Amino acid sequence: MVVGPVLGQGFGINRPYLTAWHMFRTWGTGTMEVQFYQRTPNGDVPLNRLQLLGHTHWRTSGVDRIVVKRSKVRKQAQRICDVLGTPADVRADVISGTVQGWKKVMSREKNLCR
Amino acid sequence: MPIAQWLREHVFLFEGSTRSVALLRVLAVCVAWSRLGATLVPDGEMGAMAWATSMVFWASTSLMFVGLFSQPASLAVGLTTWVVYANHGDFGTADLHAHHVLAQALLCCLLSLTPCGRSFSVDRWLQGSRALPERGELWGLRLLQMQLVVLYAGAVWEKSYAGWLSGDRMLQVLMNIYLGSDPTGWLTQVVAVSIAWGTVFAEGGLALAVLFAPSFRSRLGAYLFGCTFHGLVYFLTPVSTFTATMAVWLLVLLPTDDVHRITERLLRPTKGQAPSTKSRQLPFLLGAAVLLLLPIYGRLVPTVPDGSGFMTLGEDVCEVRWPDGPAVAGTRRDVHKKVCGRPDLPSNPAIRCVVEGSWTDTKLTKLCRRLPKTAKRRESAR
Amino acid sequence: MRPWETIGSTRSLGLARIFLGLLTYAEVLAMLRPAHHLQHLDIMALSGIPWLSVPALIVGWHARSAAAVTGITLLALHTWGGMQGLTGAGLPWASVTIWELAITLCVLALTPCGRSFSVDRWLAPEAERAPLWGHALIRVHTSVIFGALAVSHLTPLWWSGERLARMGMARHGVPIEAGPLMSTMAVIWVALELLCCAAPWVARQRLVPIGLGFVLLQYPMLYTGTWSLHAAVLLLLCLDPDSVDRTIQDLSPQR
Repeated sequence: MVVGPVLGQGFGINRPYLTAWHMFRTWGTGTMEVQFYQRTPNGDVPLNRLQLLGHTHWRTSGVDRIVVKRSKVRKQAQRICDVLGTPADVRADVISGTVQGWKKVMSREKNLCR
Repeated sequence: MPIAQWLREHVFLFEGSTRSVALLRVLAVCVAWSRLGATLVPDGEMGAMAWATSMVFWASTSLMFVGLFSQPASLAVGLTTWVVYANHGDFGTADLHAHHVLAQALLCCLLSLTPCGRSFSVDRWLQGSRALPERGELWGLRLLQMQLVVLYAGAVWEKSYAGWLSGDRMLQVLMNIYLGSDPTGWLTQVVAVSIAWGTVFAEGGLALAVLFAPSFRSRLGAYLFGCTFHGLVYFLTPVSTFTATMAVWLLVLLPTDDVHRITERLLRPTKGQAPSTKSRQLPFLLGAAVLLLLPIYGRLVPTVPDGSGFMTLGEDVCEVRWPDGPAVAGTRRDVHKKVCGRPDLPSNPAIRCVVEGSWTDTKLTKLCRRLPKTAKRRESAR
Repeated sequence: MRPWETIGSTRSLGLARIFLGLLTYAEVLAMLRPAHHLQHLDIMALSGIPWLSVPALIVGWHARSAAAVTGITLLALHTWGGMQGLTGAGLPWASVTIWELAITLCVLALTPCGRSFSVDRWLAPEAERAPLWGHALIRVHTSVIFGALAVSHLTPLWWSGERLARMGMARHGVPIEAGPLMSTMAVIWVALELLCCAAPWVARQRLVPIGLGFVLLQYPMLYTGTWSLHAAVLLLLCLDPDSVDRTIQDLSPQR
């Protein structure tokens, strides 16, 4: 009863017959926080991601609401670029959820419209 | 008081009413059926071990529910649940290797160490006038309480790291389930931190309540708080049966003699006014007319069921036969898995599928077309 | 005695109330989470109601109101959601299981289901005998369910055993021919459904156990979800309430 959690949660030794009580350990990790910007001569202007993707409210934005992959960031960026028209310079600040907190994924390094 | 003496009095020789463990016994089976019933329905895909586990599960849960050979039945339920947890691959779904299944197994195994068949059971009924009084040694109940303390203490330990206590992990959960990937404001972050710390305090409080709550009122309050806490988690997040398991398990908070007193009061006959003999003919006939007309109404209105049953199960089956080999049959999805992308199988099988109610000859290329995603939960036949 | 004149024990109704509440929890609550209905605020608002009424139903606090509120809300969700073609947690709203459960709860609200094994009893104990015209309606409801099922099986596809063969293939993954065996099973199946239709009214003590075995066997044969248990509770509820009360007295501990 006691050995399981002490070994599992204290020392990271996990066996099927010794129980550790991991709950909500990794759920939600990988969720990304995404902020798109349009780079202009006057600086970076924050963009309303869901509005530019064609949604009126976050509740009704369906699958566009959550981003968990870099590829989806690029796909959404491309759709935003199409809305803004060429020559658009769209960049993104993206952080990804981890067990320890947040990890930087993108920091507006590249123009995602190319 | 020396520790050894305290342990003797309050743990090893602790006695009390057996009604609370009997209630745990009945309710634990309900949770087991709810979680594992669909998984352990025998079907053609199961191997021998899975079949055996399924048979033992159904027999032992039935016995445990009615209270026949209660303690061995509880142990059998606990062990079969643990087998499902440890060998989840044989039962098809990885989400069976989860803490809520393990908790269910532990609950039933520990219940087998209590006299859970001494109340509200067929065991008791069969003993008739020879039945033992509803008091017994409840050191098994102490183990249940101790496991509960370890469970909540483990959960508090698990959450005592910067990622959780800063609110970041809870924010990730909220974003994943509700808010989406847009940056959140300060209010959302405050809410996330509050929930994160709130769960730590709630779980720690429940562990302490099991150990130290002094009175029936405080323990009842802790029980209601625990059910509300787990209920909120169930409401807000897509969790499985852990809420129900905890609502049952937390009953160990309540002093056994108080549970006895409450059930005694509920069972005691009460004298009262003689029931009214006023005729209820009109409401009965109206109600009966509505009930009789509903299925007929259902035949006329598409969104209202017409009471028919078992009309769709099997309307997507396929059958594949080879001249010299065994036949394969099942739902289209199952046959797809067994037959498509298998170069080892002989070519040119005879395939037929039910399409719009009738058997239709089908080609392999059509059978092996990509299928749409389906719901994870097995669909009921009705 | 005419069905609307019967007076009897309320204990079987109390136990049925608890189990129907637990069935509703198991079948329905998960799909009513707000996370599944973010796009439809009206559905989300309606979906919040059973989260309060179902626990009240299980513990028996304002039991009749809780049953009525739960039943009516589920009917409203079924109708409204079905009209919009909505799905909840991957399951369609147009589920006959949930529909029948909702009707059962509405009829349960017409019975004194809170008079036994309930918080209502703890707070204000009353005699556990009351007029049972609502209980008689539950018997009508049970007969209608099984009668409608039997009627829907009066088709050549069923009588030939073809439907049973297909159902067996779907669930058990083995080829099954629709021959004389399946045809005989199909006839027996309809006969058992008609038996369950009659069981609430005729020779209850003998027919209800047979019907019970039939509906419970359907669960491992076909996987019927909570429907089998719902039907089992309804059949048990159709037993004479005073006989059930005597059985509970016999099972109750000696003082």
